[in-house]
Amino acid sequence: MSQIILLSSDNVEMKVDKEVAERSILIKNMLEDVGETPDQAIPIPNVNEGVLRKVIEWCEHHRNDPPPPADEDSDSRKKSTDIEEWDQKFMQVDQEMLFEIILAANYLDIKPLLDVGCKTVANMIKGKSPEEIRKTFNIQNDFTPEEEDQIRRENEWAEE
Amino acid sequence: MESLALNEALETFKTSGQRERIQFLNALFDSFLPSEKYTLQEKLRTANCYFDIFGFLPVEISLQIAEGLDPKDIIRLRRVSLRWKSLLSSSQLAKKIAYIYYAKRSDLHFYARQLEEDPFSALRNIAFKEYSGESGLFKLKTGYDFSFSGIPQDRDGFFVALKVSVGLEYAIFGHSRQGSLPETYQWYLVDLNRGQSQTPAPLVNKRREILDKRSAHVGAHCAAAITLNSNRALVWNSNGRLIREFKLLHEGGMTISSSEKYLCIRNEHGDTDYSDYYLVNLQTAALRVFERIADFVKAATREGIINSPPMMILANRITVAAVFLDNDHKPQVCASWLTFHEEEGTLIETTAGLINHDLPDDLPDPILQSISFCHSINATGVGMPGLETKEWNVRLAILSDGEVSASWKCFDLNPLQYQGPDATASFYYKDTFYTVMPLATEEHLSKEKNYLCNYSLWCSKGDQLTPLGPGRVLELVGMSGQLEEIRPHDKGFAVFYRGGVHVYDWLSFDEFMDSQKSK
Repeated sequence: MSQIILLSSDNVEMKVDKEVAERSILIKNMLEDVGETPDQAIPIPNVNEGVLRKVIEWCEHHRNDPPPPADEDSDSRKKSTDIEEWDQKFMQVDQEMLFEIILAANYLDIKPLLDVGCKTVANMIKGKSPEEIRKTFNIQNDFTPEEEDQIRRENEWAEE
Repeated sequence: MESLALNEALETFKTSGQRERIQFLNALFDSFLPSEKYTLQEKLRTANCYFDIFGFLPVEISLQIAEGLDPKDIIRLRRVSLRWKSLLSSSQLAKKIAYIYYAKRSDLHFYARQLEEDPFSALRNIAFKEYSGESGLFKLKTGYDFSFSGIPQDRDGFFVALKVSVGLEYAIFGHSRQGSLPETYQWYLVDLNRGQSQTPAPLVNKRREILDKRSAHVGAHCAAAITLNSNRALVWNSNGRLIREFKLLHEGGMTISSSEKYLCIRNEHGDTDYSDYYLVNLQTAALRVFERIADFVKAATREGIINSPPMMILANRITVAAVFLDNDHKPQVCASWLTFHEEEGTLIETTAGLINHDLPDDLPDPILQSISFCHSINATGVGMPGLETKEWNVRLAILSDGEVSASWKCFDLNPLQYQGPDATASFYYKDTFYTVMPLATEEHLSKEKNYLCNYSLWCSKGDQLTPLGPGRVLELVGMSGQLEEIRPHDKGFAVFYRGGVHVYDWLSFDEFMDSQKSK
């Protein structure tokens, strides 16, 4: 099986099966444009070694997954935030790593990984009160007292 | 000297392996003074281990995350920070969430313009309507109110709602004297949308035969009933004009349903499981009779009659059937038989299965059917609750996507202070079964408070019947007669009482905010 080399933003080379790397639509398109398996490392300038290893781990596990439906975005059904068990464990990382994985998935165009990342964050948010959210994500309340009072009155019913 | 040693220790720490570093950190932590531990704790708290992922991600990704939240989360979490408020007020997000979550609301079109002009406000308004429906916040909707000024009144007589169409378009009223339920030849049809400014249409009954109140049917386009002694079916149009009458061949049970163009009566063959199906074309008044369900379904589907009602209710058994498309888009008729314990009302047995396989493959859409037990058919194709109340028992059956479920509720005298069958009413709204019951004591019936009767709203989920809590008391404003029936619709509910009908609407967000302000 042919392999390619990816070069992280901190100049670390990683050998990956081409099939695994092609879970990234960005890399897949790049390889198609080049036409043959390149000998030189492909630079991934926005992703550091630690994050790239995690992304490759995810791609390895999901190498045989069927491609996602093309027009899922226009789907008008409720978005499920269910995440399969392996992905849940995979996403048990600190918030910074989660943030970096989401950005990397977006940059590398790995839609299913981006979905898992978004669902993970959505699950961290769901059902929480604004105070709990501020605590979970270390967010400063930057409303003026008047602004907060106004929005609190408007939201009272939704906070039950 | 000490400082030099510490600097050296720090440099050694930086170049050590992971295991040594952890050992060193553990030893260091154990040697901390309490004040130093506190300093460290504060440092860690503010050291960006936790940060605003949602706020810092690119907007399009934040919005993708928000699509996984429900409308109430989106509304509530605008209070987190200015950044969150800005993201969660996004027009694109509000519009998408509204159409995902509220696609099945029949009143969605009322919000179509606002969804274009101010999508977040529209989303909040719809979400609030749902919330007020769930929690019993309501207001009397004016201009949709009917009392019997147009019907000639007898002394000590009153009018009783016998049947109301599913969409609350029409109601049939009968006349009753001194508490007896109406057994009369004269019924009236009331157009509920026209409110007070109408004379109710008498339903023409030339032979003056007594009509069986259990058979009363009213849809959005016609009304029908069976005569009590001669077993004749009478079919009226929405002006009360008799358009067809005919004799039913069997004296077994019957169910009636109607659509814009057709009326269908299913007539059971006494003790057998067979039924005849009478189909009346409401435009031409032509009548056809089918002896087999398969023939009826074929004809019904061929002609685009989407309301076929193959169902049966016996004392302790409910049979329902629906036509639906299977995974291969082939039409199937599915039936379920639910048998209940005669005294306890518990479900003993459920049998379900496909009952025919001989339908043609080229049936037109939409085929998916919804069945309602005691009212007519709701052809929205999204599932319709069937509800029957009988003395202390309430039976509820729900058909959705070809699956049938049912529950049976018995109300005890204690602790619910049940006042008898005439004093309670039930309705079904958004997966929850609501029951309105009178409070037990006289003190709640206060004329000073501008209402005459006071009912409390209870909600039933699963086997539990629980009050909705303090402040959730349903005050039926101006209700001077006894409560007969409550009929829900997704914008509110209608209350029928002896002497009239009021339509209540769930409170809107703006009305709610106004009432908060006035407090």
